Amino acid sequence: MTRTATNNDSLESGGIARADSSTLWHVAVYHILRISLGCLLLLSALTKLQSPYSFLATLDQYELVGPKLAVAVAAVLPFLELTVGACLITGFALRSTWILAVVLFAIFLFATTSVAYRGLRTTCGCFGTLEAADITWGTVVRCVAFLGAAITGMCLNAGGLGRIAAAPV
Amino acid sequence: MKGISRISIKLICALVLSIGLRASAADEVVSTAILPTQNYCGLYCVYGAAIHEGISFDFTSLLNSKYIKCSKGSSLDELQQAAEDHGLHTLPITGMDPSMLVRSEKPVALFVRSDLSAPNFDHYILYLRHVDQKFLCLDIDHVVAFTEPELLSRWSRVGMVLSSSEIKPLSILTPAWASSACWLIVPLGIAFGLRYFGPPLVNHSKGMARLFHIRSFQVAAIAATAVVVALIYNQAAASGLLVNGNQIQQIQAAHAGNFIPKLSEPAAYSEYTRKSAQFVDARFVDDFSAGHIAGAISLPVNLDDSSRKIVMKDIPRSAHLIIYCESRGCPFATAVASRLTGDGYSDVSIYTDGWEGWRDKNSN
Repeated sequence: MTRTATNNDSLESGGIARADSSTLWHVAVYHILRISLGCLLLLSALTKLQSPYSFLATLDQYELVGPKLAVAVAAVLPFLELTVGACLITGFALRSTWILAVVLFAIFLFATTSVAYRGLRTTCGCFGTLEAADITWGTVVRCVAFLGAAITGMCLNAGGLGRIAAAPV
Repeated sequence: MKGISRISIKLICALVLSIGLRASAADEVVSTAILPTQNYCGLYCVYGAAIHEGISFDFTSLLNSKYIKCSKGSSLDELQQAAEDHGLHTLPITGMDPSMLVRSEKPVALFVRSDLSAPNFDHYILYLRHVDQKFLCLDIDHVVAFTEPELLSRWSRVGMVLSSSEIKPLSILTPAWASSACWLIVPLGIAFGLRYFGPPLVNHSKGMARLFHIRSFQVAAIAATAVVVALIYNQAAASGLLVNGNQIQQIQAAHAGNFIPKLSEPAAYSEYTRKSAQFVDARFVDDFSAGHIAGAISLPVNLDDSSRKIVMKDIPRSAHLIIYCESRGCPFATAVASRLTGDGYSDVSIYTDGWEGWRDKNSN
């Protein structure tokens, strides 16, 4: 942990200026991933928050959790997405935020794969009511891509590309 | 309220009269087509909005293939075309919220689920007015009053404002954009604040600084923050999930079938060989007669409550019931299983592969 913090310190204090072009590419990719996944999570949260009952109905149709847990998930998940999205965009507590982002996308992948495998006919609900199409294997591929992006971001951050040195954590 | 009732009654009468008159007319091509059907729900919305806005035309002019290209009903684009061709101004909006309906002060065609258990959005209703915290909507030929949670649980938040006069999009959209911006600005602002002003505060105390450098603590702290904010919001907001128990119950009841355990073919066959379960066939009587799992009883999905109770009178409430339908994806088993659960049967499962799967696997 100390070593990572030192790397980040050097990056914060002009490390980018001294880095070679390949490192610069990594930094660019890292920040694109961070901002785009953050925006994605904020959009997802916003659409769910605007239609919580529809999201609950969609969760019921996933047939993955019982009625009480479905209400809990419908109540908490949008706020978790909102928090993780905001932390990713602002760069607050990035080491932990990337872990949470990977966990979130892994859960989405598990849920969509399960629905697609069982052949259930239901909408994804991933972006609230903006997305009316049923879950297909295409939705699963999309989730794999998001999870891959989150894992890449987490690895790049662990490799010292994050801007966590200025944060308290 | 009286004014609203008059408007509603006028609308219903106009629609029913129009449909009735047309049905009795000699035009054979359209007479059957304009009977109230789910497929024309979108066209009824356009027609209802036109009457509401003082534009009159013959309903049959809407029965044109360019306004309803698919047998399932019209798309929003087709409805927009229909409305504009009949003198209405339109504004389709994705991501509408109930406050936008109120602000529009015009009828709005809403894309909704036909009922709470419908897997997809498949129906149109026409929002008329907001009265006494309820949203009055015309659903084909009757007026329904929805509370905000009831509306949100059925509505896709896709709508189309319909008006005889020019629609001013900014007056409808700006407050909604402001509300969405708040949702984004508040968490982003807090996270920015913590990012830039947190370190001096935390580093003030060595113990705090050490604690905040533990990764698992950070993860738990972020997750706990989300949970706490979620609980506060859902408890405090008018449309919060924790303060609308009735609506939650309605949604869960509509999806009761989704919570019933599902059995695959090997599990169902194991129960069958052990004779530990009673198989129940949810298909129509003719299908049951044509072939069924040996020992199964017929409980067709179209059987009424009293007949169902007569069929089930000798089967104890504690019996393990396995309900099946024709094939995977057939909804009858879920419907019958939900009713039996409601009747007090506590051990109900659904055999998902149905008669088709059973026949295929057990004929080899």
